[in-house]
Amino acid sequence: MEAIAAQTLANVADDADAAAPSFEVFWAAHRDRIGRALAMTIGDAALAADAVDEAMARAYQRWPQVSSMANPTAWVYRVGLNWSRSLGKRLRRQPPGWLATPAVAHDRPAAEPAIDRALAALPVGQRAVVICRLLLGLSEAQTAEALRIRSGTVKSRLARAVAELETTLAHLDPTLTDTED
Amino acid sequence: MMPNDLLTTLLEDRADEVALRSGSLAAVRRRARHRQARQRVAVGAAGVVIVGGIAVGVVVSGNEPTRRVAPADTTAVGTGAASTTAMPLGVPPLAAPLQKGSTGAHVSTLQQQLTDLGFDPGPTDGVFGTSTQQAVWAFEGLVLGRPYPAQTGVVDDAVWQALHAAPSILPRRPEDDPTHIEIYLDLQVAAVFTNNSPTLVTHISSGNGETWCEVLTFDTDDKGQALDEPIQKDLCGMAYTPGGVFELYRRYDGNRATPLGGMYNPVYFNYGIAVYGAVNVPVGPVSHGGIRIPMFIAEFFPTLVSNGDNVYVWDGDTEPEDVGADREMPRFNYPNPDSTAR
Repeated sequence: MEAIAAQTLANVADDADAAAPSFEVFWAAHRDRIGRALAMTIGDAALAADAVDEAMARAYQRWPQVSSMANPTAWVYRVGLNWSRSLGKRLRRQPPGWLATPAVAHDRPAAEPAIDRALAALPVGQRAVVICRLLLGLSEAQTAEALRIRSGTVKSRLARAVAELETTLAHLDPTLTDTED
Repeated sequence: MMPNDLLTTLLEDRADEVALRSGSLAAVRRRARHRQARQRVAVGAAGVVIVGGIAVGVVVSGNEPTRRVAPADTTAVGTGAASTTAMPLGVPPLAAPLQKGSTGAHVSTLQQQLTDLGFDPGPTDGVFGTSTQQAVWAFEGLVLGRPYPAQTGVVDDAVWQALHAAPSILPRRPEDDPTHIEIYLDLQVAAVFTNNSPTLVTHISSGNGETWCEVLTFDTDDKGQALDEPIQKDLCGMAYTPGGVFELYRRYDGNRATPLGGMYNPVYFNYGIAVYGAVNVPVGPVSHGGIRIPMFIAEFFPTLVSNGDNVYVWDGDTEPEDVGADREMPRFNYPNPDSTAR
């Protein structure tokens, strides 16, 4: 009976709301996703890989608590972000164009280097909100919890960041191309 | 106007191109084991067993389920912490004490260690601010057994070594239910335990037992929105936080304006007494009887607990179960009879 229940859980592992999937299932579904989100936040893929592994190790150690949280992804992201910052590799020191470091693949051309520049130009607080809300798909409340800020701050940072990105990335918006000039 | 889903698509495409080193479950488990080896030096009534720098046993006296295990017994904890400071853990002594205003790598380490233990010093940013100070107070109380008047908020080498000994924090009342709260008024500390491990340990400020009469100012309405004009009320009451055993039974999201002022994200457990966010959470008890916690912790505190969870409150004198219905009652407030307001 319990074996069947466990099997059922494994089958719905993609559903973030599924009650307490095993750590292994969670890891398989989310490790790379969170790692990439961290890389986009801190601008260093190697550090991000370390950070997500460290955060996953901590989640593994206390999986009963972490899995019972409303959003374990947000927890892992936050722990990884804090860990990478505590390492002394401060976000604000990342130079512009940081995502285009050798740690990022060059065997295929980057689809749009403008995105890197646009992200790098954002203040880190705004960047983290953008990554949580738009890339990780966290809700406003979950983002607030993950970043330990008020949900009003999430809203205002997102609005500011989106406005900025709209300006810097306007040329990528197909709905705008025919209105130019 | 660029829709957010277009931005999402751009971000996802970019994220797919990040050359992320692949991971493995084995690597995660190995990392977890290393962390455990560094950490597991237990402070508790049962003592510490260390072999080659790795603590192998945290012996909890499981045959006495109702009796305190850790951090309750201050003498035992004190002894345990003192003994761990002599352990050859290879932590260099702290040259200069860390305190509010300190910055740098040591502060980051402090913040990370506190976070790992279940305390919440705020973001690990290397800046020793109010949040970190509050977490240090809680650490001094819970791990070093210092009652709140003796808490300094300063991390000297003794605190530093105790921190690096990574003490285990265990509930005084282990429960079969997943989650419960323990509040230690003499330490001004509250802890949320899930499956008897701390998910959060926070500094608090409770009531100090004094009768007060004061004009209280509301600067937010019940939705947490700032008011144009603050509202004032003149009230008296007793700032009394009783000990006892309670259940969480009610909660509000956001700022709850009460006759005693705003409470952020309150969760109630004893009539009008709640755990709630407040801007001012000093080292000693200053509330009107409620349990103040720092605002940024109140942001997520309600998500850690559910209505129906048990709340044990130690008043520093009587065990929670022995307080009795009469003394468990809060003292209700009344308008100031001598008020000149209005």
